[in-house]
Amino acid sequence: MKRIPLRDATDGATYALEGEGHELVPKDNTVYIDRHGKTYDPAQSNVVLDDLAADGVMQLPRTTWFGGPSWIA
Amino acid sequence: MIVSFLRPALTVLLTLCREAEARGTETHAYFLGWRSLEECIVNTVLRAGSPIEQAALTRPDYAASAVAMQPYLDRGEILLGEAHRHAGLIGPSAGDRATLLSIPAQFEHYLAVVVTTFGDERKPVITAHTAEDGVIVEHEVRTAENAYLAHLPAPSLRVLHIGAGSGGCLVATQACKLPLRHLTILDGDDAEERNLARHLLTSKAVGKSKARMLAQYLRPRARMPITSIHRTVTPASRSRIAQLVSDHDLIINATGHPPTSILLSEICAQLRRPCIHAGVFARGSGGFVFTQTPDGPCYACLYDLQRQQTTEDADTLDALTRQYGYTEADLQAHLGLWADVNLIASVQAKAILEFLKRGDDPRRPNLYLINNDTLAITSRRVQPHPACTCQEAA
Repeated sequence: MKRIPLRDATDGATYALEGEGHELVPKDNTVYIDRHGKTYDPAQSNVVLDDLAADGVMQLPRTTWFGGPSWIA
Repeated sequence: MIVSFLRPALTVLLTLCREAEARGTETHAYFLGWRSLEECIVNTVLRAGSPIEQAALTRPDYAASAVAMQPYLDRGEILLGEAHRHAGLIGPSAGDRATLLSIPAQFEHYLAVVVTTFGDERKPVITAHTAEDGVIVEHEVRTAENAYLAHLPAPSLRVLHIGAGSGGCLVATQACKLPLRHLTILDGDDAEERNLARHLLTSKAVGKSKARMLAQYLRPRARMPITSIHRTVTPASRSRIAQLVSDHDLIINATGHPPTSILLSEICAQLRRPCIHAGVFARGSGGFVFTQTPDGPCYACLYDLQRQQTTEDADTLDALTRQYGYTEADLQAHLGLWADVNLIASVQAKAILEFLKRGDDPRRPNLYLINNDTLAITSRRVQPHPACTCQEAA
């Protein structure tokens, strides 16, 4: 089992992403960024656990905001 | 929830929006700060890197923002949400609502703040929304003069307050002013003459149940119904005490008696009830307040602190004399002891207040040490002792 430290910016805790190295990281509108700013976006490409930086990543929600009443995601 | 902006953060946000208005584009910012159950305070507005900022669409620069956030997260702030600008449209657009509803569940209470500018002399309008169980909820937006989280939830907790002695009566006097649903006072002792030097009760209470007399004193001063129970916490009464603990949401241990505290701690750990303990060190030299929560350390995990505690009840006065050289005459002469106990009681009342505001927040201290000589209060986050029996139960 591989464990990648996962820093949650919204509650201040550090968790672990666990799984086999070849498992895909979930595509749930979450973006992962390592300490040096490299971004891993499962929505853009398949990201496996082994791709993530071993010293940890931060997770942020994947968001787009719109300026007019008729715009939809 | 109330969303409060500290003035410097609000200034930064409005400046970003005015600049975007001049460009004719959206703008994006993350904001960080602190949160309790009822309030969040925005301290930092962060626009990092090169967010996508088009005429009617904006997206953060995740890479630059994550790196830029690190120092703020390291000093205890958390990510509260994101802000962007609208021209003329107040509140989230249909697309914004869809985005908010699509934010993964692990980002609880994630705020979408919209700053609406009008291109004329009208002041910007700021709205704040979250998605709660699939429903978009609007929150009140205010400015705050400082970062102190002050708002409390509506009354919901039933509190069992054990110990109506010199410290307990002071804690209960504070607790009865808080938004609680119900307060139960439990103590098995009758008031004695020797208690009066360190108690709110008067000579009229001598010979009567401390719990009943304290409840009588508190009722005209209280916001909630108060019940009294005349019962001692002992191993023999364990099952009855466990039933009482089960019927309440928060337990206050103001007995200051180590064996009683260990018993209460075991019961609360088994029944997964939070318990706020307090103890006074020998001769009133100081004390501690400890918030025990389910899955966290228990009272027994604080072994070293228990050894410094003392107690006043009649059964252990002999022990006090043997162990601490503290005679009953000393106790009568020690008129300042109630002032010393008052400091520990005040910290215990403050711990109750913090629990109401934040619940079991793993980032907050759970142990406060009070030094009555230097008037210093230190705090720390204690972890379960690896050899403690509470870890076997877990």
